[in-house]
This record gives sequence, C-alpha cells and structure tokens, in this order.
Amino acid sequence: MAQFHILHASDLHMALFPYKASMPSLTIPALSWLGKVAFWRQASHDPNVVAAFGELAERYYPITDVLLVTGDLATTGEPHDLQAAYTCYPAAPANNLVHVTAAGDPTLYRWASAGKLDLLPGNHDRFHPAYKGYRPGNGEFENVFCPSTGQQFWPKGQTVARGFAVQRGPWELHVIKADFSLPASHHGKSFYWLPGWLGQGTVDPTVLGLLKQETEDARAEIASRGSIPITLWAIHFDPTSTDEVLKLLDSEDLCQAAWELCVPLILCGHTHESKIKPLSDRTVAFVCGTSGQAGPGHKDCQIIGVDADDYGAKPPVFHVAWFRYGAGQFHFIGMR
Amino acid sequence: MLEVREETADRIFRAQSPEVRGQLRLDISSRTYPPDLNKPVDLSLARQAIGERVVDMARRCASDAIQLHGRREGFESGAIPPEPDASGRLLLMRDARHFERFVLYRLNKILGTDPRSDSYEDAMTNLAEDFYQWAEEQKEDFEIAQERLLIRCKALPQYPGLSQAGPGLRTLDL
Repeated sequence: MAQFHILHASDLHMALFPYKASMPSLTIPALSWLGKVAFWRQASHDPNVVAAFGELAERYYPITDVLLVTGDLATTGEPHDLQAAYTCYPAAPANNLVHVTAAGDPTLYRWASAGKLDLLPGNHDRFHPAYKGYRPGNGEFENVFCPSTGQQFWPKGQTVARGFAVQRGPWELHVIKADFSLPASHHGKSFYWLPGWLGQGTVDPTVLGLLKQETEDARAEIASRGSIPITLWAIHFDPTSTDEVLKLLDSEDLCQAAWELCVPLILCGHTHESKIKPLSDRTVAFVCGTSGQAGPGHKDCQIIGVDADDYGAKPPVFHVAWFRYGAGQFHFIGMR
Repeated sequence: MLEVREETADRIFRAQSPEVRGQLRLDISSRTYPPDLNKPVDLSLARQAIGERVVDMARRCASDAIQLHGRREGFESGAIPPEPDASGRLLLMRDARHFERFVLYRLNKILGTDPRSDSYEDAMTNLAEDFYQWAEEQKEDFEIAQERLLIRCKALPQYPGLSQAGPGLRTLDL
C-alpha cells in the first residue's frame, strides 16, 4: 500500500511580541450579547505552545512527507509580525542535529531546507496596520515571504500556487494552495454593525479560476508521467464556517468546483476548531485548529494520512490523527 | 495550577522593559483573557496566567533536556537546560529564592522582564518563592532535594508511529 502523511498546522499567529492582544477598541462589552466577544479575543502566539509544536514536528520529520501551515502565520500583516513569522521557518539551528536556534527558539529549518514545507497566507497575514482599521489586502506578506534574497514560500499576489508533490507507487499526491483572503477593495459583508473584513474571506472568481486551471494542468503533467494524481487543495478559510463574521463568502462556488474536479480533500484552518466537515459526496474538509495562538481555547495540530492501494484500482482513503497541547507538550488525542 | 501572589504579578509587570510593557501581556492564558485591553495589565488574571506560563515553561525545559541530549553545541550561554542528572531530574532552583540561569533566560522571554530593571531582582525572588512553594506539593513532577528544586524529566509523549525516546523508524500507520 502507498501511504502519504502530512503534518498539518494552522493559525500560529506569530508576532514580534508573544501574548500580545489586538484590537483593544473592539473589545466592547456591549457586543457580548451577540456572543461575539470571543471572536475579538485576538492574541499573538504562545512561545510554550510553538516550542511544543516544534518538538512534535521534529519528532515526526523522518516519517512524514510534508509540513503544511494553512495561514495566519502572523498576527498582523505588519512587517515586524510577518518577519517574526517568517523567521520560524528558515532560521538556522544551533547545530545540524537540532530543531532549535542558538537562542533556544524553535525553527522549522529542517523542513524548509528539504523542500518539505508548504504554507500560505490567511486573513491576519493580510491585515493593514491598526490605524487603518486592520483593513485587508496588505501586500507586505509578499515582501517578507517572497524575498528577493532568502527562501521564498509564496509567489507574488493573492493567487494560487502549486504545493508539494510526492510520487509513491502508481500515485502522485499533490497540493494546490489558494489565497482567498479579501482583496484590498473588498470590505466583506457586515453582520449587524460588526465589520466583515476582519474575519471573512471570499472565493474570488479569478482566484478560483486559477485554482481550477492549475489543478487541471498539474493533473495533466502527473498523468503524462504515468502516475495517478491525488489532488488536495489547501486554503486558509473553513468553507463550512457558519459564523457570519468568519465566513468564506461564496464558498459554495469553491465546493462546486471541488465537486466538479473530484477533489477529495480540502485542508484549512481559520476557525481555531479542529473538525471534519463533508462538503459534498465527493469532498471533505479537514479543518485544523490553532497550533500556536495564546489565550483561551484548544491548541491543535494534526496528521493527515492517505492510504492508496498498489495498483491504482481503488480510491485513496483519508485519515486524521489529532494532537492537542497541554502542560507544555502536544499529546495524541485520537484519530479517525 | 499555580497562582502567583498579586504582589508578584505586580513586580513582574514593573520589571518588564518599557518597550514590552502593554505589548507582551501578563494576563493572557489558556483560561484568561483581559476584559479591558486598554488597561496594560489585569493583576487578578495575571496571577493565573503567569503561573500557567511558568509551569509550562518548566515542563518545556524538561522536554528539551531530554530531546537535546548530546546535541548541545552552538547555543547561546543559558539558552538551553543542561543534561538531566543520573536520576533523570533537571535542576530548576538551587534554593527557594533562586532560579537557575537557563530558567531566568526563559522567564525573560515569556514574561518580558528586563534584568536591568530596578524591580527585576525582587520580581524574580517573589516568583521563585511562589513557584517553589507550589512545586513542593506537586510530588509527581517535582522533587525537593537539599533545598534544591528539580523537575522529573519524563519520557516524551507517545505518538503514533514513533518510539517513545525520539524519532522512530517505524512507518506511521493511521
């Protein structure tokens, strides 16, 4: 049997300062009747959690194919926060046997340098500064994550990119990543007087078109090599979110496209809740909780397993194993 | 869970460097979030949050001591814990009022404290006393030996597909 394994993390919310709370002007007690105060409880990363994740990633490095981080790498799109997020990936370890920098901070250098790391932006990564109301569409992300010198992790623009591809047996597992964060001109869809732009994304028709085209092109290339493609899509936003202020607007278009192209799995994050949600009879979303944000709520990461037979006769089977932070470490809590 | 004294939380807040104060908050934890972010600290919540942070940090030190076994070249002085002793314990405090150097190094990172601050020594002494007193009761994880506080370095968590000691060679079979 051909097996593939993806270590999936999301919403690390790195920042220049850990334990930093954001948006003070929006913590209005009057909003509590709407149950929305929790949404505004934005915070940057917890270094203890991020270090524990680094330890888990290091232990799983030898037997997993790729580490995928589905957005909200940083708390805001400001350069200092993005730089703090970027540094986690290519920072040199203290020596070539460890996953820790000389200063004792976690680094995912081993994954990044081996080409086993895939990431994409989320809504927080595209926030403009506070004085601009955290409006979306900040292009600073590309300046940091697509530097002219240094390792590039994302192409220019709010677009689509091919992720990792692993060939095993008759199969080739490959990922296409898409950025559905709101463009600068989009204000989101307000919910009563709550602004939509803070937590919403949108299935932009242009980006969706690119995603479909890139999927078909990649599949054709894989087929030309004599392999059978297993296509996964990676995005930041949970297409099934029912919370109005966290919604992926026009997500039905994405679900329809996944159905048409028979994409079996969409990997995402955003809502800070780990869950499995069927999108149609052909597609399932595996949502990863936050793997690093400080504050109340669970801190999770997961491993996605893909089992495919040796002959290419049966459709692949997907599994997920969940890990949850507690008392300084991530603990295995179950699988499905 | 450890709750430090309000006096300790206040001293730690005063020992933060000016550029960090109000940015790296002391009142955010897995159970607490400040209701009014316009106040730079909520001391009643900070008592819990600091306690949780310090206990988690101590446990992270124990994990690092295991995982970095024999791979200690290239680190800044004080950045990582030393090897556990022959009984698998890591020294955190040499007495009830003093943390080891690597602990202080990490405390400064998670609390934003500045050793040059006038309040620093008092803040760390207070915190040491609170932590020591709490750890004395946590006999499963901590041990007092000749006034020294040690944490037991337990095996790393068991994960599917991995041997307990570290990276395994088995196939991950979910």
